Amino acid sequence: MKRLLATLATLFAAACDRVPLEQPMPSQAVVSWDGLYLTHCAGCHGADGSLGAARPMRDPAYLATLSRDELIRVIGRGQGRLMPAFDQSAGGPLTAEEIARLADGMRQAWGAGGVPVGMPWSGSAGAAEAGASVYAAHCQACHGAADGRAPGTHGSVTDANYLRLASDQALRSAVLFGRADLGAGCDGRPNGRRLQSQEVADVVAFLISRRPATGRSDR
Amino acid sequence: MLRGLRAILGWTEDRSGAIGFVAPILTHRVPRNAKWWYVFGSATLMFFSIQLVSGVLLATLYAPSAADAYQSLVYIDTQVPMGWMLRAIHGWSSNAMVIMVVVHMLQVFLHGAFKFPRELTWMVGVLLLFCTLALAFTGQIMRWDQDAYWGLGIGASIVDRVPVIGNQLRNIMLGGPYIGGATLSRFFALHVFVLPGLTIALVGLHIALILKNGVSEMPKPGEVVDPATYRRDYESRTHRTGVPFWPDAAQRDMIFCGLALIMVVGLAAFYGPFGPNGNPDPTVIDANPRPDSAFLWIFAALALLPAQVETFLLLAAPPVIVLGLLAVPLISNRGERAPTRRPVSVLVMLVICTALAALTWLGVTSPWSPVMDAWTSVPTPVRLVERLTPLQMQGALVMQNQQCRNCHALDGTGGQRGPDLGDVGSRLSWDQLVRQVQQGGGNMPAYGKTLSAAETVAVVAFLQACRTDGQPPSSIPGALQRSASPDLPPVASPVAAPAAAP
Amino acid sequence: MNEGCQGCGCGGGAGGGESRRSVMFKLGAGLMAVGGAVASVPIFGALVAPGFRRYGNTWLDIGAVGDYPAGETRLAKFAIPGASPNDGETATAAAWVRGMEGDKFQVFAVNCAHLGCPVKWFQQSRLFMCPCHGGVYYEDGSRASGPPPRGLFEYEWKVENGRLLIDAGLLPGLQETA
Repeated sequence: MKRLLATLATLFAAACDRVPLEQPMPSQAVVSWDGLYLTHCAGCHGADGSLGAARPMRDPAYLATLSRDELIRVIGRGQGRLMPAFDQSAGGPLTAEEIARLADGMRQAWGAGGVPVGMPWSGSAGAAEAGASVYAAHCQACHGAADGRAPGTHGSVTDANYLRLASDQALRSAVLFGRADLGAGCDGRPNGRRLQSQEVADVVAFLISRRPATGRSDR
Repeated sequence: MLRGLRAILGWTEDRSGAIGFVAPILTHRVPRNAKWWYVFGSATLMFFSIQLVSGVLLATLYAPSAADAYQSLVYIDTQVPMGWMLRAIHGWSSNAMVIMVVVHMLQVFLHGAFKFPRELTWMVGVLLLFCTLALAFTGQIMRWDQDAYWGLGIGASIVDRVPVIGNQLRNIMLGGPYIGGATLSRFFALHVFVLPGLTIALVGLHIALILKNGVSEMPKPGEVVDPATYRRDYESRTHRTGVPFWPDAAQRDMIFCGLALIMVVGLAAFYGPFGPNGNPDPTVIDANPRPDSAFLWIFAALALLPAQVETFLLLAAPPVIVLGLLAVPLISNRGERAPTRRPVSVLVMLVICTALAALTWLGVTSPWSPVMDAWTSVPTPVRLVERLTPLQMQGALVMQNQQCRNCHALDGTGGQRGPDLGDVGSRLSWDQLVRQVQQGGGNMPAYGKTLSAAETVAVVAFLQACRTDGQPPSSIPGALQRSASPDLPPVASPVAAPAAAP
Repeated sequence: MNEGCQGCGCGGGAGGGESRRSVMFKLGAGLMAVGGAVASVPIFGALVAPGFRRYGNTWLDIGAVGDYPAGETRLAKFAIPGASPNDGETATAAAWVRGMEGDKFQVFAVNCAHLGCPVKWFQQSRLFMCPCHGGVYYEDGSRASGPPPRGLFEYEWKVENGRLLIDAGLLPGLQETA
């Protein structure tokens, strides 16, 4: 009986100690960057920053190439039609401070050791005709011939509807960085090397030239 | 010393007659076989007493003004010593009281204890049930958080549907044309003065009726209730074989009540108080209002009622339920009491209980509610991402971007309102997918005006790729096949099937 | 009060003991009835007054026209006019403003037409969704799916001196179309 009472007393004391609402109320709570990521980004960019439908963020080269300001701008203002604007001033859910926290968190956790791809970000204009031969040399094996005759192993990137949906920037990022998360050979190093700056510009210009002028949905 | 005490007692008894009044009540004879089945009424009363005491204490700390209520709850939870425990006990004990009152009622119904001469006891009990539910509902409003605000909004919308005078009734309920300080004050008065007072009076009446008519015996098959002879038989039986309530029957009540109380206090200590969940700010539209557990079944019913009969049922159901329950002893106040001899009654009871339990479960999971942040927080399954072509990948992005995931799951993750699309590619053909996306239907909005042709092609191409491993895409044997092809609108002339290609 | 007394017949002459008691009883009952009626006017009057008052919307300024660009739908927050001092946060309300070409607007109540929960706007799919029972509306406020019996409630709007005004203030409901 004495022991039972002692146990009860201990339990009671433990219960008194416990204040379940010691943390601030949810409205004032500061959400960590990964909490923000899981709520607002993981749907497209993948649960752990990779293997999502959109470009992986767990990509040191990408994060190293993209400046912090540019990253914040893209999160806040959106990009193309498929990357929404998350800044509250643009109708999104996040404050400027939260966006900065998110950007810094991603750069810190996933950008470590990244080597910038070292090309001017807003790329120089390329030549579509030169791009066609770059495409044939470096892209065709996986993505198929541009005329649709030889299907590739990984699906067409010269498909008109794909090109309508992918923004110029998205095409350029895809050429530069690939999707390393999807497996070897998808890391933006066709035939074992990164493309030269001019080659990238040319092949992007080639892809853009394949995009039908009408019915562009990037409105 | 002892003699002095006895003298004081004797004097008090002589002037007041208190013991002479209480003793017969405590020792009234109850049937010998009134065993563990009979503890639930006492437990309800005990939890009501807990509510009274903890409620009075909370009233000393709570600020019943719309401007301060929320902050005063936060203050009680965080600053007042043991304040959170007080709120937790009040909340958990309220749930326990609702459960006990329902169990008590089921037991009385199951054993036919509402029959002659205890009809009135049942009716007062029904009123007590609704008092308890009203206390629970108004108690949720005292929390004055988002759930309370929008719960009131739902209540106001229901009242507003009353023909002709709905709007006036709604304004009376809210104390004005919007939910505000006057509303909280009204519900505070109800929760703290009107309903507890009414409940105390009805509990007194309930107990007086029990004392007048005696506690019912356990039903025996074949032992029928006949109003002409029942009272005489009951009295002679209890006189012969009955036991005094105190202490013979009361000891079981005490054991059960003690255990139930320890459990409730334990739950309160472990799980803490309910809410408050978010400031009651009407301009915060990210709210996800949910009612307390006792009302989840109503919440579910409101989502599932067909629109054509919704208003009628909303307004007709409450009086029908109240009158129906009140009328139970009028429908049948004689005859068999044993559940084995009352199959229809027992069946009706089981059906109602099952329905309520199922609705409550649906209310917990609320599959009809869109998951508001699923489109940005629930990833496309990796299994699918790994096999997609660039176009299908864009389609997967369109799927997320267009908030499809708020209502549609892929491989079990995402909203539950619409069907899981993880294997839709083997269920619907290209044309069917295009039609469904563009025209909607079956409770899905039409996306025809929102999506461009390219987006439609991409999302349909993605949906066609949503198949379990090894399954071919859905198709009609022998028919021309459509699929994603360069530069074609989603329903362009069909592409010849591979076999027929040149 | 005097009339009430005369109505009771208290002016009648004294009769036998029996009839005096009867008169006294009637007098007492009558006085109680009149007194109760008079007392209940303020007591119940205050309770049911909100049901008999005519409430009206008022024109409220919800910001510059430029705050609501064409092609977007944004949340406007405003204070409820004539709110009482102890309303706190609940003295505010919100509306969805859809900007259209040529300074045209549609202003919707945030309250779902089903049972009043707050609907949320999704810019990408151009849909309003309700978190309670799954009502969905198109960008023009018409019902898309779910239990709502009609489209979203709309407020009247007008533009004055570059400011957008809406006719609002009451909690919208089925019988009071915003």
